[in-house]
Amino acid sequence: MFSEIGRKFKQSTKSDRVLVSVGLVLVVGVILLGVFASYVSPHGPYDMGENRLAPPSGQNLLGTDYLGRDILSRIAYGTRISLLVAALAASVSLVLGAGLGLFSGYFGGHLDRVIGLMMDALYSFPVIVLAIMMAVMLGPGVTNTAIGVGIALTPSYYRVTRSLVLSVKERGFIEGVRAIGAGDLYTMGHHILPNCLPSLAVLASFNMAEGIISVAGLGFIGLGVQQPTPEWGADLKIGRDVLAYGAWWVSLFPGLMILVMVLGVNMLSEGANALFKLGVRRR
Amino acid sequence: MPVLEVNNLETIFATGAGVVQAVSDVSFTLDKEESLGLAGESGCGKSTTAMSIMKLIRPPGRIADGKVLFEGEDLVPKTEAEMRHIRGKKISMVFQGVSNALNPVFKLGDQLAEAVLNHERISKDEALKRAQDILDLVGIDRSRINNYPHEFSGGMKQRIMIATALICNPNVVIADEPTTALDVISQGQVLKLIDDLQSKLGLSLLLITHDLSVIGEVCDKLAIMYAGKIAEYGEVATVLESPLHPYSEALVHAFPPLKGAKRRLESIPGSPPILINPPSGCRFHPRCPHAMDVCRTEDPRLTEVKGRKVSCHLYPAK
Amino acid sequence: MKEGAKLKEDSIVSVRGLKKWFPLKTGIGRLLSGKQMYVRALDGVDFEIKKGEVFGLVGESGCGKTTTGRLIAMLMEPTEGEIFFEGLNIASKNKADLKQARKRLQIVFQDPYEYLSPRMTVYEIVSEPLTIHKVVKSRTEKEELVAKALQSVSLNPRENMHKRPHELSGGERQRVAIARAIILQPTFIVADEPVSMLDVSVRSGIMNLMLDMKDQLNLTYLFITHDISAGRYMCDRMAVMYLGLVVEAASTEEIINEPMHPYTQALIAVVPTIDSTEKRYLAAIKGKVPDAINPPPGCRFHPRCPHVMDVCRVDMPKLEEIKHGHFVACHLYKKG
Repeated sequence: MFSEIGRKFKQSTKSDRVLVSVGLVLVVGVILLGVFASYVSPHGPYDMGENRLAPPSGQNLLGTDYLGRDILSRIAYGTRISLLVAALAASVSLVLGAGLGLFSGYFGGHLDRVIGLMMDALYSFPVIVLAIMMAVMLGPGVTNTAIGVGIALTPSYYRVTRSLVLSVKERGFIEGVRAIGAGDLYTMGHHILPNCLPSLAVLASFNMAEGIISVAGLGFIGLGVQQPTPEWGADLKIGRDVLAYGAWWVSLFPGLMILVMVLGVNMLSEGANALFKLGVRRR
Repeated sequence: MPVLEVNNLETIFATGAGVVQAVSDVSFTLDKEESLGLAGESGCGKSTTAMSIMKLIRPPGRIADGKVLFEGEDLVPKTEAEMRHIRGKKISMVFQGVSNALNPVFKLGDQLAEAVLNHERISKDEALKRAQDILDLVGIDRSRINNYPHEFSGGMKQRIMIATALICNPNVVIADEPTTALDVISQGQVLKLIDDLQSKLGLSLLLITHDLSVIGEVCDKLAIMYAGKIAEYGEVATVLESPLHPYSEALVHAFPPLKGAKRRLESIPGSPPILINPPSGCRFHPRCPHAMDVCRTEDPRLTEVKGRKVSCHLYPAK
Repeated sequence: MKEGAKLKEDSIVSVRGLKKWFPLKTGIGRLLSGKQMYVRALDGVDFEIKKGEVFGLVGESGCGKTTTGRLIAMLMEPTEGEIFFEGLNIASKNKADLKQARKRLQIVFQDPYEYLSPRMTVYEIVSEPLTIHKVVKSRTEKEELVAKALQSVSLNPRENMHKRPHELSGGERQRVAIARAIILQPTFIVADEPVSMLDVSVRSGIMNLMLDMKDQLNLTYLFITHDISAGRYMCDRMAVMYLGLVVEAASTEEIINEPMHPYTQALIAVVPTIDSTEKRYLAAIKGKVPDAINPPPGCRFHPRCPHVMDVCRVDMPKLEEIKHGHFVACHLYKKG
């Protein structure tokens, strides 16, 4: 499989290679920041200090917020939270969306129509609006944010999976497998699902960007991850409140993190999409 | 003078993996009002030969050597503009894969008329009348010029393809697997039509197919190709009744007979060679039951033996 | 054949009154007329296949032979009628019965390119039936059985087990398909145009293989083909189909040399053959096969039949045994 990836890489255009490489660097960079947060952070993310709203200095490389907490430490640990929630949301949507898409596409009929209608209804909302609705229904906090955003992202997995299933289902070898006695679940699991995985992986990375923005967005309006847990969006919110005092660093750095991560994920997914010619469309 | 003469034709394709020697040293003649069958299995180069004659080979393919003499004139050096006056008008081709050749959104009459108008300066009305005449000739009702392609069955579409090929009164028609996709009875009807038209219009026919039994009933001469070369070439009855080249013999005996004694069919072990680095010497030697030492090193030339031409060391040139 | 007649003892497959109608999903037309239209792919088919024989189903496209094969292979459910396999009615919907029957009844398809899973190795493809039916547990046992199956189809196990379909030629792929079909030791195989998409010199190899395997492994075949000459080579008995019905069924030699139904006669007269350079196409009858949505009334062949009589336009002839072992559905012949 890796040799195939290597081969495709060599055969791609320069712009695709740049996209994938830069995207990969950015994404991996952010992930490493989260993993090695404890080594990068000079202080703890919850440690309040006396030096409140201090601009970037030798002691606090990125400054402090209104509670004297080191911004750099908050961002580093915040990376973990943001990524964790986005990953959880991605898992929820992948399992739910791909699962429903698989059954819907394979069995067709009334089941397909009913699920399709539900998914179309969900799909018509922008993800952030849906996420807000879910947050209002479920309440704020880490897990609920993950579930809410996950449900909001489900329809796109459903669509992609369902259309892949519909095309694979008609291939001759599926009939061949049924002819030797394979049942429906076996056929779906062993033959149809594996054909969907590459496209689903690309879609998952597209949705990561959407997921990160949604999580941050919810945090920003106060419906997502709550203080004092470090999270880019939530920290962006308090940053905005103190902007009037001229403390630009409190909002700049969390915002920059969001930008870098989203940019990186988008570049990576666009590049991978082109590289493997999967033709996955964003939403 | 033969109407079409192919001399030592060589067509190659320069791919990333190497140079494919698709057609090598192929020679045959087609006389006026004669029909020649070009036979072989997939990959033997028969379709590529036809496309070469029509100069429809596009890069990375090209004609590397040889002459294609149409009414004495060599087509190989001609420009694309010059060929456009020849294709459809003097030499026509009926392709494989019938249903894809017609545009589904245009009426039949318009498409046939377009074929004429490409070559002759006549009015649209005159072109439509010619279209109706040609439909008569192929046995389709004149009034159907206003129908769309999807309203015709497979057999009828094949007749339409033939009509399109004939509408400008060409001298030579090249038909590539014209009846392969058709049912037995439709095939019979189309072959009857081709036979009829040949005598009525004095056409010369180059029929390309893997089906030797069809060539047997339609053609005067037969050339059997293998791996881009001609293995055997002569009168149809001669080659089919007593094939000399080991490949021709195996191929003829691979067809199950309908009447007559039942015998175990022959099959040929192995596969045709990849033409990027064809085997040295005779291209059939790895699969030949009579392979000798010379076959591995020397490529046999087409030699006249027992009233036909064979390229095989079993029958060396005198 | 009478309905409910006792199953013949030496029949492995019996087909009685088999019908398959496909509902047409038209748009406006159906909405306006309110009537459901059907493609009557099979409209009442009867025949018996004896143990150990090769039974041919011959006809042009649209005659229903492929549909019949799919129904017998339990890939579709019939609209009406019965299919008995080793005494069991497999047209019934009992899933457990069907799963058992699948071990003994297999199918080989026409297209060796489309019908093998492209992402699996030859070993995985051929061993899959063992996995699905949980026949053997250990990997060594599986490998042994796969190797044996590959040897039966003259494929070297060590060279081929790890290859994927795209690394094999058409003939080799078809051999893999056959190996997969025989690994559970079936008694009956439906072969749906198994050689039509192969080169001529490869076809004979596969046909000879199938004939050899029939004797070695005690198989019975249903051989579906549009190529009458191939049918003659392979089959002991043949049934000729036209527009969803069997028009004639007899031993192969009688079908070829003494065809009785005008359609069979038309086919035999026009089909090109390697052992004649006669212009057989001159015998081609006119017209084309009508569509199966609104078949002609009475005998379905009557619009093209050179011997048509008044009764043919009105009454559908029944398939009857005119000579011993020779069945014809035609008003030209009276029973006995």
